[in-house]
Amino acid sequence: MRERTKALAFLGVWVLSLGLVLAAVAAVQPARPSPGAPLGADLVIRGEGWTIEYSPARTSNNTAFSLLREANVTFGFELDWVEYGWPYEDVFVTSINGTRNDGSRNLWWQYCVNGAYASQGALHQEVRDGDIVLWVFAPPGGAELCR
Amino acid sequence: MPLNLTYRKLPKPALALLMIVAGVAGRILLASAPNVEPVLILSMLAGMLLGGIYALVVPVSIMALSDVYFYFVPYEGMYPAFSILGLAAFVYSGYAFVSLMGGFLMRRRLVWRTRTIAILTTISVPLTIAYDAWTAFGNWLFISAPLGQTLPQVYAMQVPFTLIHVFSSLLFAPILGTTFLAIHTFGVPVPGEAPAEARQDSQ
Repeated sequence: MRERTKALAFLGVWVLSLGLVLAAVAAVQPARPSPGAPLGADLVIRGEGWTIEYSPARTSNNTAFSLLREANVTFGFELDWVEYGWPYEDVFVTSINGTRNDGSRNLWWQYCVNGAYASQGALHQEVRDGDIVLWVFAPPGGAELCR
Repeated sequence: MPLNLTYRKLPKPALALLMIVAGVAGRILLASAPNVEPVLILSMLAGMLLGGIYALVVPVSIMALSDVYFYFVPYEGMYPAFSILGLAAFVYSGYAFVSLMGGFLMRRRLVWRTRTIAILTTISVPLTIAYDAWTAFGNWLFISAPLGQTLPQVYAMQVPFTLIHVFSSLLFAPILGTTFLAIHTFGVPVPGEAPAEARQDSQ
C-alpha cells in the first residue's frame, strides 16, 4: 500500500475512533433531571455560626443547586460557584453568604438530601416533593455532617 | 526576492525545551477542559525521541513548571499541602512511567512513516488507562479514603474521566507525534541558503 493511502486510512480510523470515544463519554454521563411538576421542598443552609432557611410553597427548581440558586435570588445573599462544561455539565459551589471554601482548614460547601450525603453533582441531584436539602459548610465526612 | 529556507536539526536539549514549552502552555491553556492535556503524549515522545535522562526531565519539568502556576494562581490554598504532595507523587511517577514505556516500545521504530504515528497512537490508549488507574489509586489514598470512599467507588467514578483522557490522547498523539517526529527527523526550517542541488533545479 502506498504511503499516501496508508495516511488516508489512518486519518479515517483516527476520526472514527475519536467519534466513538466521544459517544462513549456521552453515554456514561448521567442525565440531568428534566423539569417536572411544581413541588414543595425545604432548604437549610448551615454556615459557620449562621443558618438560612427557605421553604418555597411551590417551586419548579428541582435540583439541589437550582433550589439554592432560587433562595439566593429570593433573599439576595451572596452565592459563588464554578461551572463545569461538557461532558460534566455541573457546578462546584465555592461560596455562600460570604463563607468561602477553605482548603487550609478542610472546610467545604457540601449538600445532603433527606440526611443522605451527596453522591453526584448538585445540578444532577433531583429534589422531589417534600425533600429536605441541607447545604453545610464542614469538613467532608459523609453521613455525619448530614445530621 | 524569495525567502530561502533550509532545515536545521535540533540538538536534544533544544528539542526537550520545545516539548517542555509546548507541554506547559498546553496544560495551562486547556485547564478548563479537565483531562484534556498534551502532557501524556509529550512524555511518550520524550521517551521515544530523546530517551535517557530526557525521558524524566521533560515530563517532570512540564508538571513542575505548570504546577507552580496552578497552585499559586487558581488553586491557591484550596487543598491541604499533604494531599497535594501525595497525589503529585503519583502523577509525576505516572508520567515518568509513560515516558519510559514510550522509549521502551517506540525507540526502535523512529522512521518517518504513517505506521510510526499509528503505533504511537495505539500504544497511547493502554498507557493512558494504566496512568489513570495509577493516579486514581493515589487519589483514593490521599483524598478519597479519608472521606470514607472505597477504592471500587473511586474507580467507578473515574470511568468518564478516563474516557475523556483516552479521547485526549487519541487527539494529541497524531498531532504532536507528527510534529515532533518531523522536527526530530528533518529539523526546523530556518532562513538560509538553499542546498546547492535545489539552486541548480531552479535555474
